[in-house]
Amino acid sequence: MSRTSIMRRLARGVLALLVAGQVASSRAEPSGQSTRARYQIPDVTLVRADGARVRFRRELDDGRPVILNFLFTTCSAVCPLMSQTFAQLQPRLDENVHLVSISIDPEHDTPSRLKDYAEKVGAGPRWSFYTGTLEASIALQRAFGVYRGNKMNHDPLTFVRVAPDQPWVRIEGFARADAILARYRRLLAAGGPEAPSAP
Amino acid sequence: MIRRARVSVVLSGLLLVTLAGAVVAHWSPRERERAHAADPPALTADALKLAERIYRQGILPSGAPLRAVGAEGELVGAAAACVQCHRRSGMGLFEGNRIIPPIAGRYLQQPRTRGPDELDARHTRGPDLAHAIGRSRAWAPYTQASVRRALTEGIDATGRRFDALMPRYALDEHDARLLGAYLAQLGAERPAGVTPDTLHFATVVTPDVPPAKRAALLDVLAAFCEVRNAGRRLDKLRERRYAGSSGSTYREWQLHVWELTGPPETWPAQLDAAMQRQPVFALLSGIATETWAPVQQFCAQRGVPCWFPTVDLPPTSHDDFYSIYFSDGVTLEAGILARIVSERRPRRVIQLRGQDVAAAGAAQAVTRALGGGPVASEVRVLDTLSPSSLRRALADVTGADAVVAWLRGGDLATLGAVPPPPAPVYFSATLAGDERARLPSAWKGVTRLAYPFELPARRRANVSRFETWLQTRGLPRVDERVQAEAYLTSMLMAEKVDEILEELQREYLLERAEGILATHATTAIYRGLSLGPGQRVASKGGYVVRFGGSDGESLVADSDWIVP
Repeated sequence: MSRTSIMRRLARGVLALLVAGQVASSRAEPSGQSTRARYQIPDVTLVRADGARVRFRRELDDGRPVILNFLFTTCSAVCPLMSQTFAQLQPRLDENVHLVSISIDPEHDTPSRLKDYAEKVGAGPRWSFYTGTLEASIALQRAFGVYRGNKMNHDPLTFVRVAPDQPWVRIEGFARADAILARYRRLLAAGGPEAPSAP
Repeated sequence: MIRRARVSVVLSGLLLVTLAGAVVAHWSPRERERAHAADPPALTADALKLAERIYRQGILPSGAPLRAVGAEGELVGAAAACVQCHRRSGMGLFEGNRIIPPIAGRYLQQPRTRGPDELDARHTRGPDLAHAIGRSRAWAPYTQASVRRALTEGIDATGRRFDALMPRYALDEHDARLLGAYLAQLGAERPAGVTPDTLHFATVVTPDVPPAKRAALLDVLAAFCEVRNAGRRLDKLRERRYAGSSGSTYREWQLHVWELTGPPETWPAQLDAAMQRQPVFALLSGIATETWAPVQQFCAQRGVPCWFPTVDLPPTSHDDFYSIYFSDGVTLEAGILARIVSERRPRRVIQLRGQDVAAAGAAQAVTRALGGGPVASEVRVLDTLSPSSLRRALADVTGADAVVAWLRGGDLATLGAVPPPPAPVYFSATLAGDERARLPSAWKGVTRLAYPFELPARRRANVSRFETWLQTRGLPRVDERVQAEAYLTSMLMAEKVDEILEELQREYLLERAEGILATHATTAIYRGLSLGPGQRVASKGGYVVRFGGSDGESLVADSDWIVP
């Protein structure tokens, strides 16, 4: 690896840390706290709301930036607000950003119920909903560290990743659309897709 | 670090508010009456309806939608309705690390008079009970003015701001007052069927149920109540002697059997009459082999929980709040079969059924699910089931077809006189019941079963607990599904009744049922049971199974777990 490349990476890392600190401290409530993590995503097959069976890793690693959450369609309080946040984000994000919502109640949330839910919350084409077997959903919840044994125990959490080779940023609590957007833009500026290494 | 610190703050908060909750739950009936004397004047029936519409549907008395501003923008109509979070009972909810506090009358109004020294250990065992922990630490009784300020400005009675989940409502003074009066009466009355000493339940038996099934169900329910009451009598003595509190938490269960007669359209009137003779808190279990719709209708109209009955054909509409089911019965099987048939692509699906209502409903569900798809479907109705009618119905079946036979266990013997067709024959495990073992051996090779239960080999440990219980009670195992469901429904009722303590409101009972986990310790014959807010069917999938194993007599999976 060339020296410039190392320097660039180092600078990017420092900047990312600064940004992370800023986001964590810029919110009055501690729920805005965020951490960076690399998750081992299991190679599970999920079913999208349009009925397509998909390898979930491929869905995530198609090159697009991803903003992801876990929800279920009959959730009373937490998910409606998280979905409203995603709905607010939609028109303000770059065209290529992929919003991803994974059901933590997959046996109830059949593709057709997810489709109805997507319509209800005003999801556009860049916001995809996924269901599948209970095992697949739990495997993903475990991978992202959100599994709480019972869907009613779920925490509000948002995950942001600007490119497949980048770590995930995990935002605790009710992150508002403004905060997520700001976070996403800073991450993009700091550590977007790898630039080709200098020769 | 921050996260950890926050968790401890939340926990200490929980402990403190648990104390507050304990005070509320310990209120004796007389003290409740006294506290309610200062309540706002009672609503007229019309005003109550208007207020209820704001609370449950988010529609203002003017007919305009309720509007509110939430953390991420405007909420309109149903999305803004109080019921969305605080639930129909007004008892709130615990979701993740968020408490949606109870807002039913006395939680807003009663002054706090008892000290934390009266904390009862029972209140600490249900950590997800919003009602037991829902009052804030700094708490003051609400007045009409502070209720309005809470709704419109998001500031509680002590002057503190609510968190992001509570929207700010656009309500004028009249509508805010109406809503405040609605909250004041919410949960104020003890439902009929609950006395200081007794909890009355009823089990409904429809006239189509064969005597053996009826007895299988009623024997288990009676044994369960007897054992529970025997244990609870002792608890009650202990409570009176040592705790010095009202002593009303431990109630005996009294089970009334409501036997319906005549045609289904007369059942609602029969149920009303029975309810008038002896009001009950809830319908515990119940059994039907044909329609159950009139019973669900009665429960919806009278606001009575219909708690996990054993029914083959539950009504297909689950919009009703009061009825909860283990599964969708034959309708679920129809969904499973439609899915498997779409995958295996036979040339035709030929469905056989008799005059049975459940079979008719199931066949119709398959036809509907296959409609417009590539597989042709045909229903052949057998007026009388005999070897000759069966032979005629199967005469043109080829190896490229699939047969779905909606036959009951008692009908299976007829198959012995007819050679099996050269095609797979799908039966219903719900209709065939335990008697599928009597299926003629010549048919076993072609037999597949829609099986909305856990596989026998995998549920052994789970069922063994129930079987041991049966043995201890001296009850023979006569019908696994009926008996296991009767046991499970009673267990779940006991669990939830014990959880809600003195908050014996019917709506709250059902909301607690919504918290049933997929990982519930005892799921009996089911793979998992899971409900959620508004969900009314606990087991959502099934397998297709066939005869296999080393003896060729065990039921083994012929498909993955299918959730149609």
